[in-house]
Amino acid sequence: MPLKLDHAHSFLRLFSEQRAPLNSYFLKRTSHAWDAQDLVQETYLRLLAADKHGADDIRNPEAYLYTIAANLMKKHAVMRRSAPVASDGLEEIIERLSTPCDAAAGVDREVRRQRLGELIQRLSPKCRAVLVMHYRDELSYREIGEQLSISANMVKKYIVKALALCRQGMGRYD
Amino acid sequence: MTDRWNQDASNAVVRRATEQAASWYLDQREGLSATEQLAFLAWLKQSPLHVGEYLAIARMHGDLHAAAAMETMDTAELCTLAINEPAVVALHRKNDKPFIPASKRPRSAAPRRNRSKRWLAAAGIAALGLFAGGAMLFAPGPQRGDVYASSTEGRSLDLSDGSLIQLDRDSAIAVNFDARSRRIELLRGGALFDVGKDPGRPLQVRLGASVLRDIGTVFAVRRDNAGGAVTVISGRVDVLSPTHPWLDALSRRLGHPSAPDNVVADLGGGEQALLAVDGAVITSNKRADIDRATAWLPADIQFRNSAVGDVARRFNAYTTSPLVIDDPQIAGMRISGRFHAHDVGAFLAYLASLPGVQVHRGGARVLVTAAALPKRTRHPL
Repeated sequence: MPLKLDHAHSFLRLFSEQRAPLNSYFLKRTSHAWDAQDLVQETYLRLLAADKHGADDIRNPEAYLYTIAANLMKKHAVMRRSAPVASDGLEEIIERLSTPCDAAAGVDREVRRQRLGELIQRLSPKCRAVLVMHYRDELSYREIGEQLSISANMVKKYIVKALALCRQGMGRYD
Repeated sequence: MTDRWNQDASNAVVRRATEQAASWYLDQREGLSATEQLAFLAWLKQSPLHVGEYLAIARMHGDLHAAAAMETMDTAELCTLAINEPAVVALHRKNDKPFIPASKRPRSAAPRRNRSKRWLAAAGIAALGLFAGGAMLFAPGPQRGDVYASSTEGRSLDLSDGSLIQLDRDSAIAVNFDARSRRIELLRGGALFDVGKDPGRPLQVRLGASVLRDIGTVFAVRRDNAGGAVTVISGRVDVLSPTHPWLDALSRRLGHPSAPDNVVADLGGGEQALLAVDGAVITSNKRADIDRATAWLPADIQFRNSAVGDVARRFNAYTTSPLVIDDPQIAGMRISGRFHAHDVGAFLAYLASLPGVQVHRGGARVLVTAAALPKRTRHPL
């Protein structure tokens, strides 16, 4: 995988300033809109900083993570004088994560969904069946397990595997 | 070497992070205890990779309902495929005679024997699946018959009626044969049919809303979200517009193989029709690009100790001038070789070199007949 020097250098500077632990594997990853890596880096650093002041305050880490990301995006939107993030709606924040400050977000979403649909088709039959039954047919792990004669736990494992494969497949697109 | 190892290790680290992120994300949807939330926070803090993968999974999750809704297979089909992963899917319904692949028949060539063993093993697994509680799955939905699917590689099938079918990768068909009719449905992807002749049981191929009626033919079909395409390599295919299922069922009950005809296109060799989702003909093309329509077929035709007649049929998937072997003894001759599939000429030259064989070119087909030489049933190769 080609190393994007500019990007890597800016990360290195960022990390050396913050003296944060550095995951060298992470640097090897190429950047693209999907990752919105700058945002991820900043979110991570804020998470570390906030936690120093009192981990007990973070009762819901997921909500906290989204809040940090949303605040950073608002800040960036002001800095770049681009379309501001209008609300704190989770869906919009998440949407912005993939296409930060991009006016063509609607078109992008259609393309993304199409690609994701194609990736699902290429999953192994079990992963595909389990994923589709969960997200399209809205069946529970238990219900899916009964149909396939496997445990609910195995169903979850297949969904995890399918999600990870889809995510990696999406990561290969620019 | 070391670089390769590092790359593999790096990929493994990323993959593990992605799977952990997905697992945490699902756990969050179900709700976590305070202790589990602390473990989740600790995991997030381990690496920016974890934060990035978690946000990416959250992002993707928003698209999943819409993306999963694009799946065209119904739940029963998905289950059938999943239960029988990764092998052939062969489900026997109670009232059906056991399905015997053509390769089991005595005239079968040696290399097919392996395939038929695998086949029977898969059938056994499928039967086990049914006894293990899968039977209830298939009771409510429409009866689909035997489902055959391919994954990342295409595969070829010999059906009990002598039809040869080549499946493109990631494709599936359902086969439903009974005493009066032969019905095949293209569930997804593409397939090429070289139809075995059986005048008493007409063959129908369902392609989305359309039905294709074949009259001894080689043709390719493809199905996607936008509709379908039918390309006739040789022979004739009628494209029938959709009929109401109840009308179809009624006419079958009355003893007709299918509802009254409503032919919307009549295609000959080299012709193609593009069909809309509702079964309407969008365009029909008198001079289809056959190479393009069959580009997904294997580029080589390989055979070992196979009957000339069988090999000729495989070439007929690639040419609008089908080979007709007009002599049963030649058709039964065993040959071995490997040819470029699109170079039918090379195969004909090879046939012409065999003792007792004459090749007559010209016209809509190529005729292979016996020459006035001593005939041999087995060519020494």
